Amino acid sequence: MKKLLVVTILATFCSVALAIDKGNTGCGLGYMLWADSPNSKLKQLLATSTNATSTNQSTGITLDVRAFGCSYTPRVVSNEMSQFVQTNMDGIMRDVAVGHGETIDAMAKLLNVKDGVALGGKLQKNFSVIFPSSDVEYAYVADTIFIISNS
Amino acid sequence: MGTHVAQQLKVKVACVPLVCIFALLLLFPSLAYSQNQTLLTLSGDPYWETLLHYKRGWFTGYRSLIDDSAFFLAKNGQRDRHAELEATIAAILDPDVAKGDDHAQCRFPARTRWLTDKMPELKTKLPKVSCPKYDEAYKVISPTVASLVFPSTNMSGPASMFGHTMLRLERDNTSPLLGYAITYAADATDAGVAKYIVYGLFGGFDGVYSVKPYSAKLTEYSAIELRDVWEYRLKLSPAEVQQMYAHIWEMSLVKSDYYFFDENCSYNLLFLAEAAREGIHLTDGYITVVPIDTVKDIRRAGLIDSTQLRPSRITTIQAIAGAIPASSVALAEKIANKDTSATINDMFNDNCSDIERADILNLAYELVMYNSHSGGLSPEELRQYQNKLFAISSAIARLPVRGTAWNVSQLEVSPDMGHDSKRVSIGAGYGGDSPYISTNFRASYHSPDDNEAGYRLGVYITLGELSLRYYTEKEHFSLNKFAVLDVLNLYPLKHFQRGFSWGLSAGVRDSSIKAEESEYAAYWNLGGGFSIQLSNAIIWAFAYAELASDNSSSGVLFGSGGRLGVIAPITDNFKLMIDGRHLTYTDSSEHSESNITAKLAIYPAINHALVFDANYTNRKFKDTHEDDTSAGLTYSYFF
Repeated sequence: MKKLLVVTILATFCSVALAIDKGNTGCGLGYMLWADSPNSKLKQLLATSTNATSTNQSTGITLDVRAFGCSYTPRVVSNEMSQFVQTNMDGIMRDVAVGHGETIDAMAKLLNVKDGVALGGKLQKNFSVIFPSSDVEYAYVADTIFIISNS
Repeated sequence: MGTHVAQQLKVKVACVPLVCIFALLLLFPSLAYSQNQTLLTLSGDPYWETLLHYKRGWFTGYRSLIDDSAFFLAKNGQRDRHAELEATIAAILDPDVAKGDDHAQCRFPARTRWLTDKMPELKTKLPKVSCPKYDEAYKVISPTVASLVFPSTNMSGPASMFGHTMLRLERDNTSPLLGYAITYAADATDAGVAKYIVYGLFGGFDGVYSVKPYSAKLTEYSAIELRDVWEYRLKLSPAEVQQMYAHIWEMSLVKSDYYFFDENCSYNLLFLAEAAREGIHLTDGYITVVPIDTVKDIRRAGLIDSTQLRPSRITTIQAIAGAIPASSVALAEKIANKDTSATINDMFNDNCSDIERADILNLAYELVMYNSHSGGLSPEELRQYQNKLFAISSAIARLPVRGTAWNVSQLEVSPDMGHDSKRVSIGAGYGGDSPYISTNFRASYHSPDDNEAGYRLGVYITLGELSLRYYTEKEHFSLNKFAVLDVLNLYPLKHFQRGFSWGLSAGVRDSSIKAEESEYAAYWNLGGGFSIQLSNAIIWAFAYAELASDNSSSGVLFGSGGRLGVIAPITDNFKLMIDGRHLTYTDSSEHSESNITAKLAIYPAINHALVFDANYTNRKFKDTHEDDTSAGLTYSYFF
C-alpha cells in the first residue's frame, strides 16, 4: 500500500519534473546562498554588520513564503510547513539521513505528529524517496514528507 | 385630565436637560472620564511611559523616543502623556467598528488591554471590534513563551563586534526552530561606508521592529556560521508574552531613529520586555548600550529561566576535528573539497568502522556548509554545493549507525557572566624618573588586560578610555592618554580558519617620557598581520604604522614598522601579556622608537582586576636618544 502511494506521488510529480531547469535557485538546497539572494556576499558586508533588515517590509510582520518561480508549488502541506522546508532544507536533508534532529522535531509539530522519534525513523527509511536527486525542490520534499508521515 | 397631561408635559420638559446630559455622555463618553482623577494618575504611570517609549532625553525633556507621528493619537502625543492617554481612550471607544484593523483597538491592543484592566468601567463601554489581520498573525505565531537571543561576537563589520540581541516568540518551549524572531534594526541596505558611520552615529537611519521566522533569521545571518548563538528563555507567563506580542504589534511599521550607541537593536528590545509586565524597569540608566549589558540587566531583573548555546558551525567543526583521528579529518576535508563521490566510495571500500564513517561524513557535511557560508554562489557553484551535500547525505542515510554525539555546549561560559563593560582604576608606579599616581576610566568594552571569561579570546574593543597621571616628585599632572577607539581583532589561524588579524586605535596622548613636562599629540595607528593560537595563548605579528601630530615643521609624524604580541591566559585568574613595537619615522631615517610592555594580571573576582605592568621605551634621534623604564600596579573595578 505504501509503495503504491509512493509510486503515485512520484508519478504526479515526475511529469512536472521535465519542466525547464532554472538552475534551481532558491527552490532547493542552498536556499540562501545563491548570488541574488538577500544574503549575497556584497549585500552582506553591511547588512549583517548593522544587523540590518534587507527585505522590503510591506507589513511589519512578514509571514509570506518567498516565491522564486520554482517548478513546483506545495499541494498538500500548510504554508508554514512549506516555508519551513524551503528555509531549512539543507538541515532537513541531514536530519532525515541521520534519522533524528531539531528539524524533524519541528516538522512533527507542524504535521501534528505525536511521536517525533518514530517519524525520524520513517523518514530515514524513505530518504531516497524524499530526496531523489540533488536538485530536488522544497515543495516536493514538503509534500512527500507529509504523505510519508501519514502512511 | 388636563392637569395630568400638563403634569406629564412638565415632567417631560424637566427631563430634557437630563436627557441632554445623558446624550452628551453617550456621544462624548470621554468627557465623563476627563474629569476623573484616575486619568492623571494613569498618564504618569511608568507602564504607560513604557508603552509610549517615553524617556527623559539629554536636551529634549520628557518625550517619546518614537519619531513617527503614526504612533500617536493626539497631535502633541509625543510630548504630552496625558493628551495621548485621553486621545487613546476616545479612539478605542470609537463606535465606528467597521474600521476593523484600522480601529484603535486593533492598532493598539496592548494599550487597550492595559487601560481596560486599570479602568473596568471602560471595559464595559468598549465597542466590539474584530481585528482580522491581528488575529491571523496571532494564530500563526501563537506566542506563549519568549526567549532573548544573543548572537555573539563575529569577525566581520564593526557593529557586529558587540554582538546583537533579538527576541524570539514561541508556541511552546520545545520548538525553537518554529519560533519567530523579533528584531529592531536599521534599514541600511544602500548605505556606503561613510553614510553608514554618520547616519549610524547621528540617527540618520530609520529603525523598525520586524518579525521573521526564527529559522529564516538564523540562515539569513550567514555569518551565523561564525557566531555562537546564546538563547535565554525568559520567565514570563503566557499572558505576559501575549501582552508583549500585543505591544510588538503596536510597534510594527512604526519608525524611530536608530542610533548605534544608544537607541540601538538591544535598547529598543528592552521596551518590549518592559511591556510584558508592570514593574519591570530596564531602560533606565543607560548612556551607551552594549548588547550584552542588556542581557545582564534582564538577568538581574530575574527574568532569565534557562540558558542554551547553539554553537556556531566553526565551533562545531573545531570540536569534531579535535576529537577524531587526523586521518579521518583529512578524509573529511577531501570529501568536502575534492571529488566527493569518488572519495566516499573509497571510504566505503576501506577498513573504517561504520562509526568512523559516520563521523567523517558528519564532518564533511559541516565543512561543505561552512565553505559556502558567505553565499553569493553562481549557478555553477550552487549546483556543486547541492551535489556535494546530496552525495554526503545519501551516504549517511546508508549507514546503520549514527556518528558520535558531540556535546559542544559545555565548552563555553555564557557571555553575560563576563566582567561588566565600564572600568575604573587607580594605581601607582614609577616612570620618567618619578613616582606617579594614576587613574583610568574606560566607558566600554573589553581589553587585553581584562578577564577573558565570557568573551571571545582575541577580540578587544575599547571605546572612550581616559588615563591620568600625577608625577609626585615633579608635581606634574599629565593626561597620559585619551583613547577614542582601540580595537584589536586577532583571528588566529587554525585548521579551517583563515583570515587576517588587525588592530587600530586613535586618540590623544602625552608623548613625552619626561615626568616634568607633557607633549600632547593626536595619534592614529593601524596594524595588520596574522596570529596563531598555542593552547590558550595567542601570539600575533603585525605590520604597523602610525600617524601622529607633532611640534615639528610639518606638524605630522608618520612612522612604520612592526608589532609583536602575546596574550596568554595562564589560568582562569591569571594572565600574561607582552606587546612590543618598533617604528621608523619618515622625517629622518635615524628617528625611530621601540617600546615593549609586559603585564601580569590577576583576577580575584569577575569584576575586579589587579595588573602589574612594566614598560621600556627607547627613542633614537639624529643626534640624541632618550629612554625610559617604568613600572606600575593598578587596581580596576568593572561595573
